[in-house]
Amino acid sequence: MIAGKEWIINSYTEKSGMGVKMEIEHRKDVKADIMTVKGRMDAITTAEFDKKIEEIIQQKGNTIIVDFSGLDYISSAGLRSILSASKKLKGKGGTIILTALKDVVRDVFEISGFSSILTIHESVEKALVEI
Amino acid sequence: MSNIILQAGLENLGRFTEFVTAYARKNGFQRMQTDRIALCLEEAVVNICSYAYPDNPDGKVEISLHMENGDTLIIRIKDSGIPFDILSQKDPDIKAGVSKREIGGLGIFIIKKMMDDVKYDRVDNQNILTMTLKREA
Repeated sequence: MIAGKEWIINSYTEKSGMGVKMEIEHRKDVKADIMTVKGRMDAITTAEFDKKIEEIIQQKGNTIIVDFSGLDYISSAGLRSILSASKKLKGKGGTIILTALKDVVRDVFEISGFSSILTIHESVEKALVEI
Repeated sequence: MSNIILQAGLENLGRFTEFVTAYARKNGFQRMQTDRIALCLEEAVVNICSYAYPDNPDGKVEISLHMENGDTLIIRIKDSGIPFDILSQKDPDIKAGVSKREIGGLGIFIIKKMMDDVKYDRVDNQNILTMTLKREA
């Protein structure tokens, strides 16, 4: 346990007939709430991401860092969800930071223009330094 | 030619996607491209599930696949729902900042950017969306 950090790990796993589709973990750092999202964010699994982010915002989490290093896929449903969360947080003077986008996830963010309007860093560690 | 017809519901999204990506893999498409195919497939199918059959829970989606010239995948997605030319939608303003950025219009925009070609036709009371992607060497 690292002094100064509070670890709350809860985890949500969305399964489909083909196995685990998405896993979400959440922990609190002194500077931010950190969500780790693995697997796929599609039209079906995105609802759970929405729920989790909403919980964090309700608990007054104003700075949210999302670790996407394990995210293999995101569709427009996922993008809409992130944009929605971003607007909400902006309204409260908060921010969402996305990290470690790769492969088709990074492609989708660039094609949609989202990589220009959202804060994106290479890693959670880098994001924590910037806050 | 390969075919699948299922009810237009999100619960079938996985099956539609697996059907199309398996065909693409079998025809030599690699991960980078099959990821894009899966994404475009989802965008098209989710649009149909959301809008095509407002009064009919049994509405179907039919997907036909074939290869042309040995290296080009043609995906034809048909539904018998209300007439809807998905290509007529305005592109989202991709330069708009977070506050001004609108939530809609992304799905078809992604398809237009990721596929080599997209066409819409209305034939025999069916919407037909045809997506084309050439296999990368």
